[in-house]
Amino acid sequence: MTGRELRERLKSKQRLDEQTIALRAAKEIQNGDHVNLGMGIPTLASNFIPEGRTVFFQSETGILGYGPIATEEGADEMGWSLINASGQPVMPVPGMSVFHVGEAFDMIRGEKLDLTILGGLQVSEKGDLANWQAPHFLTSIGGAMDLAVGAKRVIVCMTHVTRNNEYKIVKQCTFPLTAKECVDLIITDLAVIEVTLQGLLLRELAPTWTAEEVQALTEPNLIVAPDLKEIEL
Amino acid sequence: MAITKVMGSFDEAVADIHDGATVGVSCWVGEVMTPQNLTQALARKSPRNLVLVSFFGGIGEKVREFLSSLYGEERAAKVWYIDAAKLIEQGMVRKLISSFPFAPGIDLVKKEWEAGKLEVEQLPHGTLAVRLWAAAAGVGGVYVRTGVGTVVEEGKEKRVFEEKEYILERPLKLDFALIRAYRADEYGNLIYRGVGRAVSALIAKAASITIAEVEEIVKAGELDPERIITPGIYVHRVVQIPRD
Repeated sequence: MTGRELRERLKSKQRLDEQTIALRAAKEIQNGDHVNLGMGIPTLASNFIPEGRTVFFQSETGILGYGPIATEEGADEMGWSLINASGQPVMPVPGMSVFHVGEAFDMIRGEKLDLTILGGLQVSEKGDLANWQAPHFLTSIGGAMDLAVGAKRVIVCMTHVTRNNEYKIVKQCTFPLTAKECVDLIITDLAVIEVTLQGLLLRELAPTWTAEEVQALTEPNLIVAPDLKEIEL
Repeated sequence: MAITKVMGSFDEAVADIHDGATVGVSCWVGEVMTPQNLTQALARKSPRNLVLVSFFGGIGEKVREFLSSLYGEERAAKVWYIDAAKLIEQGMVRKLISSFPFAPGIDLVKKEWEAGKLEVEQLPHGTLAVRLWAAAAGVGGVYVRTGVGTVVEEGKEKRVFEEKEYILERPLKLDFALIRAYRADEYGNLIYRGVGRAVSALIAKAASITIAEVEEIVKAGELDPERIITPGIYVHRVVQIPRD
């Protein structure tokens, strides 16, 4: 079977849904971490923090240590005064602080955040990230460039390929870059892949997927981890 | 002689914003950070060829009207409000400098930009913040790592410090800043609620003239000095939002 045939056949094979990707990403968040979550799948990760861990979520709108997304009643009670960078009203929790946007980005650029989880359009084998603009997809830089450069650890959550079955994990990004050599870990609907100096290390697979199948949907060569296993949830 | 920065009307407060001025408007998320009354007053005065500096390009009134028809005026007003996009809608803006000009589903800026009616300079949020800070602090520029190897570095000086690449970002000075706060005293000292301070407290310092609309104005001495976020030296005019 040619690579093309294999890719075609894999189109119909079951993949992880967004909630499950977010669940896997949340496992990377450690007790005491200061974390900024990007829009989309990353935002969902806040729902899956393992029990017993205290996590401080940061918003570029100047909040550190905010709580869950507010209900309409909760937001009314707060006078709609706490809103995260995605425009969602959030609830205060004990230990929260507020500040202006310059301070929010001092924290980010100043390498104070332990982790950021971002969405992705393309990730290269060197860990370059493109996540803000593509042909037919016009959105904004926002905080992504600062987060990709400043956070101590950068995790990208995305689907493994585009809707048209095109590679998103590529040898070289063709879309405008967010930052060079910034990604540490890629979590997709098929696999968990670590960016290492030697190349992309395939660590975990979605249930029923093989390394060969994931390779067929990944442009650069994958190094298969000696302890390759099914994705841990 | 007694000093007061309190003005009687929004129209009076924006009366000297002239054609071609560089105007920063607090705009991102939440009514508590959005100077809706000053923005409307500026739209009435309608100077032309403005350079608008805003973190978010705004939503605009057409989207708000649509949401009001869907959810009712009261619910819509909580999340959507008259923001910086109003000035773009009125054709007052020549150039937008913003870190979030384009958003999926909000096509006002995109339409104007594609039609060649609006110039757009896009920056990372942190870079916009640091350029405003540089203007506020009177420094000649700041070297940042954000944007290295991307379109953001085009045309900018690059330097290596301790084996890392940086790009030089220059100050972004505002002629006017339109901001919103919770409470002011007559000297222009300001306190905020929640994310209200996010943009206002930053751009207040970067402008020659800063104009604040506030929920309440109190006498000097009634604000706890320990709680003041924006000291009055940065604030030139204060107008109270009418209570309904």
